Amino acid sequence: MSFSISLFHQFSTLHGVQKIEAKLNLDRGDFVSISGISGSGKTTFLKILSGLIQPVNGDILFGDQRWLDTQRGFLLPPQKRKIGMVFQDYALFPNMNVLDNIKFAAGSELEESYLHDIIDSLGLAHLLTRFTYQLSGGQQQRVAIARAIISKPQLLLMDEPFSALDEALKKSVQSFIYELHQKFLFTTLIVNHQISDIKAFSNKFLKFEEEKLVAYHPKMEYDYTVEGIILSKESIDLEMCHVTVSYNGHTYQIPLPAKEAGKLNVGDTIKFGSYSR
Amino acid sequence: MEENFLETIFLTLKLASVTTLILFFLSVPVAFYLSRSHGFLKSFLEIIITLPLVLPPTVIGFYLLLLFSPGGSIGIIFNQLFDVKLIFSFPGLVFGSVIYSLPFMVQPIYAGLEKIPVQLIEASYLMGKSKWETLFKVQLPNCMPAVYTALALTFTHTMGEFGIVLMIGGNIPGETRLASMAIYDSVESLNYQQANHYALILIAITLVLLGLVHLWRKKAYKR
Repeated sequence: MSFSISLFHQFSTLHGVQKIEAKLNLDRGDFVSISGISGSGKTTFLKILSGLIQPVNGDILFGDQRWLDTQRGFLLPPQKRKIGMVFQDYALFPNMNVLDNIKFAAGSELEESYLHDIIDSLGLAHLLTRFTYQLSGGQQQRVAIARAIISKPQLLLMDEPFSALDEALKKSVQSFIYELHQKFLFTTLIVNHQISDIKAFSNKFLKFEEEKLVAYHPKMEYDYTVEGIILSKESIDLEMCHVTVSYNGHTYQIPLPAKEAGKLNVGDTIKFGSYSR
Repeated sequence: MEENFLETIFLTLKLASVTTLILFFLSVPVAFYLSRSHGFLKSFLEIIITLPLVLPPTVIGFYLLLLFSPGGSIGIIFNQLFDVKLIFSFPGLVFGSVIYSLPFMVQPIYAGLEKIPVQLIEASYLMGKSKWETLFKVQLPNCMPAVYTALALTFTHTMGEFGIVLMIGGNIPGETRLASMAIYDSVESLNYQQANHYALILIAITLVLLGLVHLWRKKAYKR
């Protein structure tokens, strides 16, 4: 299933007119990292994908579902897109406690076992009856993440989702999200200032350059901490490879430069990312 | 104390309660529309809603008298369709109060809805919730201080209205005689003690209400 995006948008800011141009094709299950300087339009881009902002021109097709066609004046409302979103400022509902915030997002399709899995993995069990004003920034961020993934969205958009977490918690939350991503294969787009935080998970990299969203390959610098066994290798293109690694009962997909992957064989051991538990 | 004292106080509270209830259900959709719109209709509606705030009550009362009278356009409709007389009757007073107190209910709720961060609304939409579901489960519960203020202002304002009552209600005990009319009547007949009884009751009810609203707002602001 492909996710094709073609759009142009311009809007006024304090510094003048800001433009965004994006033309790209993603696949189901892609884990995409988006970077760019402040004010380059990253958040606006996520809001356009979610249907909260209608661009000046654009066409978005998610699988066989048309989300946007400005030429025909068509915009699929956000309610019908099955998207989970972590907002930069969390956007938790102050009138609800933590549990109600998560349940509100789940709607009528709440799976109790999945709910408990999320609550435990994000360390929210002792916070369920608290209101947002009783939570720290990091706790609010974890509730926002739980709320975004509880409905098993087909597209997960995350705007700076780890900015308020300390290093230890960040790694644990990151690997939990990656685990869920691998399990349910929701297409994930993450805007993150610290590209090193999500580099190890991402299989595609986009950045805003001169108002255009372009693909690039970042320089890989792993913080090698654990050792796994290589299960398979798959070329993405001439420069990049996906290496599937088994570690501690889980499988991880690691994007590696083709040169580096060429030196490795199936069955070899490899030390990899800081994201593992 | 006059014979109809309790009846008059009860009728005043009944009018304030009925008006507040009707206005709440009428004002929420209006405030919601105003908080989401930008065009000409919004500006026009805002002006119309603000009119009762700036016009002398006697002006509104005078035109309502013309409209509600048996020959007036609204009076004829109500008379023929529902067999209801609007002039010098309780339904007429309710009708007039709803128009006169409209800005006291709409304005605070509108201001409260405007202050809700747009991200909360966006988050709710992305969770598949409709605009109305978002209004009743996210927006209104998060602007309860504004709702409490609107309810209290409308109730107390209706309780003390005089100009419109004088024009379209008259002074029929048990039917249209309200506390404000009774005070006026008592002063006219130099019965200051009776006027004082009515005035003190109105002050007491208003103080209790404002105190309750203060407590509710304080509780709501904690979140």
